[in-house]
Amino acid sequence: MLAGAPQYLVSGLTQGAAYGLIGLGYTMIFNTTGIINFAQGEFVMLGGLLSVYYLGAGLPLALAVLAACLTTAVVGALMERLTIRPLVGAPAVNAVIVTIGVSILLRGGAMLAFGKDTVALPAFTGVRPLLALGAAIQPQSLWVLAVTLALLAALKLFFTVSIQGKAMLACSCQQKAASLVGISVSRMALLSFGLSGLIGAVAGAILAPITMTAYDVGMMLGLKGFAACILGGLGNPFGAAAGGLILGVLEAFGAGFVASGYKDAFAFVVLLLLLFVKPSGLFGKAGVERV
Amino acid sequence: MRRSLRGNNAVQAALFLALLLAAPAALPNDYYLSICILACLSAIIAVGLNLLMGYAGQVSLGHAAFYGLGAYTTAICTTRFGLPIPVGMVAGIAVATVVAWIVAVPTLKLKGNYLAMATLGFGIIVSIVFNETVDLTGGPSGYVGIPRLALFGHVFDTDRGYYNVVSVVLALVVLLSLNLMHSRTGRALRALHVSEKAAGSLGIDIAAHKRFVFVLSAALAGLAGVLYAHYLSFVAPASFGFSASVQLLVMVVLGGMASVWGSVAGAFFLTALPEFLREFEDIDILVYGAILVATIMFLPDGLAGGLRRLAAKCRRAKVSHAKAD
Amino acid sequence: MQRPTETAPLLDLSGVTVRFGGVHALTEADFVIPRGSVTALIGPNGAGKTTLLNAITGMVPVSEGRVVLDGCDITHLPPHERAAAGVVRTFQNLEVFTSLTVLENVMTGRHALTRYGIVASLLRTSGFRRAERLCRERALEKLEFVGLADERDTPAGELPYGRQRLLEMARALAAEPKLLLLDEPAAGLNTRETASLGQCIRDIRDRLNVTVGLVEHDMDLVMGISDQVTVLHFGHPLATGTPDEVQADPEVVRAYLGEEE
Repeated sequence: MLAGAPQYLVSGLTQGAAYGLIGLGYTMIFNTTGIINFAQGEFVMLGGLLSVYYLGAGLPLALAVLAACLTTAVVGALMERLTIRPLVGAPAVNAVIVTIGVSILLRGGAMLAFGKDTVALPAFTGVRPLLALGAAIQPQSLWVLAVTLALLAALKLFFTVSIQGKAMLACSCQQKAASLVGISVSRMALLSFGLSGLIGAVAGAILAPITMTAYDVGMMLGLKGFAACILGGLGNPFGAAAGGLILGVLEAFGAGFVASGYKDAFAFVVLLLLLFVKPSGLFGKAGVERV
Repeated sequence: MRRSLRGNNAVQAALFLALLLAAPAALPNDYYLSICILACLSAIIAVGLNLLMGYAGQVSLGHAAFYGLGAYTTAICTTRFGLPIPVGMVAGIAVATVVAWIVAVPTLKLKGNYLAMATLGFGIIVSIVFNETVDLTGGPSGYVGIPRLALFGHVFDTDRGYYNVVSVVLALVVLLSLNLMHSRTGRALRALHVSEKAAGSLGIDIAAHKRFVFVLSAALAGLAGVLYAHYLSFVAPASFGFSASVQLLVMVVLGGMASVWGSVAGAFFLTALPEFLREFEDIDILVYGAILVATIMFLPDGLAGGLRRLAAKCRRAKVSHAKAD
Repeated sequence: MQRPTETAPLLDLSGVTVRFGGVHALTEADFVIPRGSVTALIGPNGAGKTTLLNAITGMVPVSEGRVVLDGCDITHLPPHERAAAGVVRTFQNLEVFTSLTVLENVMTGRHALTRYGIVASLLRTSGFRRAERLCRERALEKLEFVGLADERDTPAGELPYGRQRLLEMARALAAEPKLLLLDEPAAGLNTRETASLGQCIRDIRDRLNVTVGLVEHDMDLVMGISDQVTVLHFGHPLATGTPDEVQADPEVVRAYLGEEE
C-alpha cells in the first residue's frame, strides 16, 4: 500500500493547491467585508466552463483561460454591487442567504447556458507524465502548483506594494478606521469580490484538465475550499493555502486507503471536527472576546 | 383580554383543516392530490425549520437530512426487520430526534457563518452515507417496497385517504406550533434571537432553548419523513440532499421568518411551482435562486412580513382618517 | 452558609480577579453593596466597571475571588441562573428585544417566575392560562411603575431612545430581583430625562425595596441619589464612602475628579 504513497501525495498536493486557491478567495472577501461567500465555488465552476466555452469559440487556450478568468472577475464584481452592497446594515443571516441564492442562480444559469454535460479542458502543455520518485506526475499538476505559487506571490506583492492592496488590508484590520482615513470601503468590497472571482476562476481553469468540469462542480469544490480556509485559520491567506494542501493530501490518502465512495465525506468530517474543536484553525489566533 | 377570532389558535387551525379537507373538490383530478400531499409534508418540515430559523434565529442548511433519516429508518424497520408500521414510524422520528440531539450539542455553540457551514457539512455527510451504505439503504437507486401506511387495521391505499391523514397532521403541527410560540417559550426564543446576552441575564437558558428548538424541528422533519416513506413506498437519497435543504430554506424565507402560516404558504407555493414551470425545462434551479435573492433583498420578512406591514399601514391610515374627521 | 443578618451586605465581592489573556481587567477587587442602598461605581473609562458588573452577572469568568449574593456564593453560576439567585442587570448599549412588543419584553423578564411546562403551553391548560394572566398583570404593573403602560403594544424597536431605557429597567424589575444593576442608565439622556431617572431609581429603592447598583459617568446623578459610592481605578477599588466623603478624598480627586469642568 505504501507503494502508492508517492502517487497519492502528488494527486493530493495538486488537488490541495486548488483547494488552497479557493480558500484564498473566501479569505479575501471575508477579510474585507466579514461575509462568507457561499457562491465562491461557482466562481471556480465558471472558470472551468467558460474556458471550455471560449476555447470552443475559437480563442487559443491561453487567451480562453484569461478571458474566462476576467469574465468571472466581472461576475464577482457584479454580484457585490447588485446583491451584497444593498444589504449593508441588514442582519448577518441575510448575507448568508443571499450568497446561497446567488450560487444557485449561477449554477442554474450555467446549466442553461452550457448544458449538463461534463466537459474537459485540454491540458496546458500535453499529457505525457513525468516519472519521478515513484509517481507519474502529469504536466498539468506542475501547472497547478506553479500557477498557485505564482498567484500567491503576486498577491503578496499586491498587498505589500500597491496602494489598493494596502487599503484592502486596512479594511480587514479595522473597517471604521479605514473609512475614516479616506479608504472607500465599498470600493474595496467590490475589488475583493472581483479578485475572488478571478482567483476562483484560475483554480477552476487549472483544475479542469485533470478533474473535468460541469455545471454542478461548484458546491463541492466551494465547500472543500471553505474547509481549507478554516483549517488554515479564517482570515489568514497563507493559512488557506497551507490548509488546502493539507486537506488535499488527507483526502487523497483517505481515498486510497479507505473506500473511495466516502472520499467526499472526508473534507466535511474534517470541517465539522475543526468547527467543533478549534474554529480558529491551525494558524489562526484563538480570539479572547471582550464582553 | 380580547378573545377575538384572530387571536384564537385553535379556531384558526380548525378553519385551516376544514379548508384543506374541502380543497380536493376544486381539483380536476387525482394527480393534483399527490401534489397536495407532498405540499403538506413540506409544510410540516417548513414550520419546524421556521421555529429554528425565524423565531430562534439559527440557521440549518442541512435539514433535509432529518427528513431522510425519518424516511429511511421507517423503511428499513418495516421491511428488513418486519416491524409493524407504527413502530417503524416511531423509530423514524426517534432516530431523527436522537441524531439532532447529538449534533446540536457542539453545533449550536457556533454562530452565523460557522453554524451555516456546520449544518451544511452535516447534511452532506448524511447524504453521502445514504448513497454509500448500499447494503442498508439500497444506495443511489433507492429503497423500494415500503408498505403503505396502515393504522388500526385500516390501510390508507387511496390518495384521498392519505391526504386526509396528512392534512390532520399538518393542522395539528400548526396548532401546536402556534400554541408554543404564543407562550413563554416563544418569547424566550424570539428574545434570544435579538439578544442572547439580555435573554440570559433574565434567566433564559440559551443553550437549552436552542437545543430544544433544533431537536423539535428535526423531529418534525422526521415525522414528515415517515409519512413520506409510507406514501411513496420508495425513497432515494436524491430527495434528501443539498437541493432539498435549499428548497426548504427558500420556503421558509419566502413565507416569512417567524410566521407559522408564512411557512405553510411558502411550502405550498414552492411545491406547486414546478408544476407551472413544467413547460420551461430545467429552469427550476434558476427560479429558486431568483426567488431567494429577490425575497431576501426586497422582502426580507417574506410574504407574511409584507402582509403584516401592509395591514399595519392600513390600520394607521384608518386611524388618521378617523382623526381627520 | 451563614444566615444573612440585617446589616450583612446584599452583595459581597472579595478578592475578585478577572483576566483577559494577559490583561488584568480586575485585580483583587473587594466590593460591597449594602442591603437597601443605591450604590454607585464610578471611575475613568477602562477602570473595569463594566467588567465588575459582568463578573457579578456571570458574563466573564472569575479567575480568583468570590462573589456572594445574599449569603449565596454565585461565583461560578452560569449567567442564566443568576436571575433566579436574585441579580438582574441592564446594559450599556441597549439590549431591548426590538422585535417584541413593550409588554412582551417585560413579560420575558418574568420568564423564570412564570412556571408551566411545554405540555401545558401546547394544550393550553387552565394552569397555563392562569400563569400567563398573572405574568401579564405583573408585567403591566412594572410598565405603570416606569410610565410606559400606554405603549404596551408598540414594537419595542419603535420607542424613542429614552423610553427604551425605561423599558429595559421595567423588564429587569419584572424579574423581581433582590439586586438591580444598571450599566450607565443615563447615557444619552437629556437633563430632564436624567432627573426623572434619578427619581425612578429612588422609587425602586424605597417603594419596591430593591437594592440598586449603578455604573455611571453622570456625576450629578451619582452624587445626588447614591447612598454609597465606590471609585474604581485600573481594576482595583480606590475609595468607598458616601458621596461627600469620596468627593473630598484627595486620592480620588487626584486620580479622577481632578479635571474641574
